[in-house]
Amino acid sequence: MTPAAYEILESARALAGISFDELWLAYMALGGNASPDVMRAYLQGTSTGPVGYDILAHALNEKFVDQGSNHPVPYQDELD
Amino acid sequence: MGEANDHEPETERVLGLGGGVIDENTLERLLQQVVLLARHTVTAADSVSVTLAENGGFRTTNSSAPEALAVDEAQYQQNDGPCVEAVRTGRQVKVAVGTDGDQWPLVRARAREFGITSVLSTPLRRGAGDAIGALNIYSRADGGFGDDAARTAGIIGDHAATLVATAQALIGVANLNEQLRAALASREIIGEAKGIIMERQTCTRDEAFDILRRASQRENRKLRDLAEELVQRVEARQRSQPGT
Repeated sequence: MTPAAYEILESARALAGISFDELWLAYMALGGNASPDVMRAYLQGTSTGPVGYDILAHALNEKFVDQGSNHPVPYQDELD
Repeated sequence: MGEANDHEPETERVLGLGGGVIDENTLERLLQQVVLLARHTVTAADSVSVTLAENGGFRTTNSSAPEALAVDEAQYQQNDGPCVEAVRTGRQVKVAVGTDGDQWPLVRARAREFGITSVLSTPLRRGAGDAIGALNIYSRADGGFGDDAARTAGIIGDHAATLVATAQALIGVANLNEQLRAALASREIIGEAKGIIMERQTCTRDEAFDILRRASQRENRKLRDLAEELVQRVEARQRSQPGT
């Protein structure tokens, strides 16, 4: 069974070692509109958002790039 | 040196110090006041320093004389001594170092090089027992520190701990403010770039974001930087062709 989109993001967040607050700040800086609570609930699978999957994926990818990796988190069009 | 039994001016100075929290910008400037206060109010004090516990180690943030720093550092090297013990146990440590003793021989030796006879280290406690540092007072006087000196140091130490905790919280707020400011600036420039792309490509804002994030991935550059570049290019063109 393939993981749900939110599970991919949440495991990437844990792997990058950043807090929900840090991720939200990066997401907001990229133009994301969801509140910190909604974003967190989405990542934990208790809310369907909307949050903008690709904005979160890109926020995480920029964190990974800072850490020396190259965009490991798939975007929406790479998921299907 | 203050009079031993004259507590009222001491109390005033201590309380006056609390009012300085808002005015002072940095923790170290606040702690310099603590050092001066202790130096002038604790009977028999000759030099004073403040130790903060940081990243599993210790650091002297302020000292009134090189000798205080030197004896502090001897303790950090040994990872033991009155100051280190005060931080670890959360209890005040008063010790005569003018003579040889079993406890902390190297620290005693270093103190004696400066003619120091007594050390009084008071923990800076946050809450019940958790010490975040220590106020170290060194004396060259024959009798060393009496009970009143220990009591005064205790009062100053409690206020200093509150100062440190408050200043650290304020520093945290200032950092968060700066992060939010940067995030909002980024969000604004990306919003402007999306607007330009929407107009040019006749697309939705999600599609405009998609174009930016693909370019970011392809060129391995921050999306924010690409957005800024785009906005600046458009702006430069508008300036060179006014009215068009």
